[in-house]
Amino acid sequence: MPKKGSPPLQGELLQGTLDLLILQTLVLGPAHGHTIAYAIEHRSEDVLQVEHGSLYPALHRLEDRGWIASFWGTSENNRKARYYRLTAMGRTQLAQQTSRWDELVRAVNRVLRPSEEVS
Amino acid sequence: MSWTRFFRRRRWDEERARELEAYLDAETDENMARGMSPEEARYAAKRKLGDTTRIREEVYRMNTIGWLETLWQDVRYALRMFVKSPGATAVAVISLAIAIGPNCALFSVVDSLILKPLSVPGAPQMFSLWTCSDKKGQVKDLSYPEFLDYQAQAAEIGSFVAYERDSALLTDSSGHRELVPARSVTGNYFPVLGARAAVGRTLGENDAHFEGTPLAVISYSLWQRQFGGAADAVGKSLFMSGRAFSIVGILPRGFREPGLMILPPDVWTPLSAYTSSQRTSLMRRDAQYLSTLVRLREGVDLTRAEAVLKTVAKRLARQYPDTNKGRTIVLDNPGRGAIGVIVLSLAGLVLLIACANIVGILMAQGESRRQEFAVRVAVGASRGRLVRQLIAESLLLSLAAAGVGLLVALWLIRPMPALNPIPIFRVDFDFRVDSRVLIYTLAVALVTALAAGLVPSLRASRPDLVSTLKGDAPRVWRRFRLRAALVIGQVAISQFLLVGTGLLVRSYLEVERMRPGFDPGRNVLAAFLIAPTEGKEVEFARLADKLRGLPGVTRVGFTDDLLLSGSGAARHPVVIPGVTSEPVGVGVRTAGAGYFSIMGTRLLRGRDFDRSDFKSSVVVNETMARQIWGSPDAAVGKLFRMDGVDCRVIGVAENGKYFELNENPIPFVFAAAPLGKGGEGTLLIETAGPPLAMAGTVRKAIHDAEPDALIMNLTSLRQSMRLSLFPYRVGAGLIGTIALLGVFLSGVGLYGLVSYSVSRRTHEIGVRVAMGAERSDVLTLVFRELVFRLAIGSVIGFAVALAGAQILRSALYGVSATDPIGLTAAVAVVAAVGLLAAYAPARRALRVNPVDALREQ
Repeated sequence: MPKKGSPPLQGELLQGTLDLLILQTLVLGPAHGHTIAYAIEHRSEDVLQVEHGSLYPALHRLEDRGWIASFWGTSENNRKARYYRLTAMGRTQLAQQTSRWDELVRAVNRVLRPSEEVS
Repeated sequence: MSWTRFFRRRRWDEERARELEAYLDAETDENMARGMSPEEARYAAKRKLGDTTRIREEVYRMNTIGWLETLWQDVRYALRMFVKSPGATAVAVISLAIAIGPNCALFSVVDSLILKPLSVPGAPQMFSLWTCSDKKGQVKDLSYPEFLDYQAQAAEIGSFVAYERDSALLTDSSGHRELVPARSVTGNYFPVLGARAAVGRTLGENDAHFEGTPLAVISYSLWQRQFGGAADAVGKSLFMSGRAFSIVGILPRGFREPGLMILPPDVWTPLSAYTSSQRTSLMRRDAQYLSTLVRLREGVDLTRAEAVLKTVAKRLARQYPDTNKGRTIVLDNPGRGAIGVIVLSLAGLVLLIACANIVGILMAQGESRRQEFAVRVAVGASRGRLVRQLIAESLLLSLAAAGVGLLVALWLIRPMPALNPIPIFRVDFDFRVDSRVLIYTLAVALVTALAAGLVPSLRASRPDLVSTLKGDAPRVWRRFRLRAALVIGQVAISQFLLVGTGLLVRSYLEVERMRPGFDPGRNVLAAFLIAPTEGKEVEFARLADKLRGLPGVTRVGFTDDLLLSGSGAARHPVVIPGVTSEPVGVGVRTAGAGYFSIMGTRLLRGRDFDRSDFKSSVVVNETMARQIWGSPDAAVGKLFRMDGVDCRVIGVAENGKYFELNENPIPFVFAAAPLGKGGEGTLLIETAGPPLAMAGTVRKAIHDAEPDALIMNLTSLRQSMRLSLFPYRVGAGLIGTIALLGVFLSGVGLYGLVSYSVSRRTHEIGVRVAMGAERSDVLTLVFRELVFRLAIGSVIGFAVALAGAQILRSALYGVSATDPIGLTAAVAVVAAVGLLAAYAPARRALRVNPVDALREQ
């Protein structure tokens, strides 16, 4: 019998990171889901293979928090698509989350490579 | 998560679906651009995106409030279940409704009469004060000088207020007269009670002056009745007993003073508004008729207060031996909530019986749905989920029943004010279904839902998976035992109520039958008249002559107040030097010529009053004769002094009841009263035929002869007795109704149980009949268990009833708690109900066709 379990810790970490990636992608301008998905893949040189499906709950969550806002517009091939843009609060959050990410990276590096102390 | 999203989740979901579609389109286009065929492109796009349904679900779930969603699901499911089995649902709802309805009606009454007065601010610290004699325990109110003494000398424990309960004769502008309950209060009454006026102001210390126009405060209902709720009523004049009072304030609607309030006052005036003659009597130490309340200070507890008060009492006893010797002070909390709680508990018992029925129904339903539950558990439902679902069902049931029950309650409450037993006063019973009653009903519904739903849902949520899914017959014995136990409980409660009813009914019948010292069956009409204003008088002698001349009237007598009318219960001290060691408190009535013969009171010795007797002639009753002189013979001709008048005993009357039906023997004096003029009195008109038939004629004759006199009450002796019997009647009627409801509901429960038992044992019956069992054997099978359970239930019920009957003893009259007739009647009723309930199932059992039964497994 399937039991409702909590997502693994790894998954949560990925969730926060995904939000960050989305926000960053939107810095360059509004985009719709399809574009954002491919943008993340391309910019990471295909290292980050995000399951496109998991993008949408993330977008919903970000919109709920007010970090992005959505509107309906026309896409490149003349179809109706839902666009997202960064809000002012989102911009602030992006800056905060980015610096936190940098701290995290530095901390992990210090543990992994203690000899290479970066000042 | 925002609320707007919650309410529009479906729309969001549709948008989401479109968004996903847009993605798929975009991806498909790109795939086709890469060279795939349209179908391949679409397929690849779908794979890239993943499971759209899962995505939509995930987003949808982010938009919901978890428990609200499941609750709504549960409710919808429950409604579907009810629609599927309307019969059982209807029985359950009606069963509960007829238990909830009376409960709410009773609560409304109890709330209005008892609870609301108790919730007056500061009520817990307010106590009533009486003096009582050390020996006899007979309580008296205080006199005004006494009150002032306590107020001054015991000031450390709190604030003292006093009031006189009275009635006021109001005349409005059109000449219409109305008698209303009234209070004359001390200056600090309203401030100490913490009462505020709704319009204008209340009376304060500054109004305690004797000059100027007297002031008054009126009640909300009087404001509506006499002034139509006019905004300018304050400042208008109120005509009371011939004097004009200026209205300074109107109290809020539903204003309550501490204490059981059957007759809430309509007018409050300051004691200082008394006329000079009233004032003179107010200042007498022996005029002990002021009701006194004390509001204890913060931090003063009852024991300390009592100690202080007792010290003051001792001091007063020394200073004023005539009035205060041997008297000490007694404190009590005004308003007994106990009666209300007892009545509500009894009504609650019926609710228990109804609950038991609901449990039975729910359990039967649970059984027929066991397949459904087994499947749900197998597919992954948690036990808690199932229990929540079932509790939701029973909650819906009881809420529906509460709704219907409220309608029943409204229907019950409407005729209640008409039951007002005291015809003299206009009483505004305020029984309504207000927010408090609604809250009570809701609470009752919730408790019922939990009580009835918990056990069945716990049982049903643990199905025996394997055997149920296979389709085996269920093992039912545990459930059956529970239902049987419930039925035993129902029977026990019903028996308890029936025994109580039996006792109260017998008690009432006994009281009605007994001789109260006069013959209520005599054809006598009693007319209680008062002069319209203070100082005026009614010419009773002239009136009596006129009435004697009426056809159909044989004799006319006189007394000051009818016995058992509830008033004039003061005791007068009688001291006979050399005979009595201490004052004997006797009750007193004045009586005119021929009184005893008119009333049908037997005279043991001596003679009746005749026209030659003046105030000095008295007739004493047997109790007094024996108590003071030793025997009726010895009493005749003796002299004694009472109220400053020399009295000579000319006769001894039989004992009777004078103030209350269940009083202990009281020494009593009838003083001769020559018919003359007076401020008030009662004419006793003996008629040839039924007295009430002459009522109209008599009324007209009185009106013609004395147009100003007020006929406060015109009643026959029998009717007047009914007033005294009223509490007994109400008690018996109330408990009787509750008991009948309980018995009816138990009958339903019994029916359910026997029916169930028979259907479970159809196979067994078939086997027995096939093996040669007679009809009587089948019946024995059905009934044996039933009788067994009835017996156990009855025994338990009796045991509890006997234990509880001790409490009732003070209310019972002439019936012992172990009254055999009552017990037999109770058993008979329950047996009859049991037989009736088992009739249909028994017939079904008899008609079982063994072939069919054996085939059906």
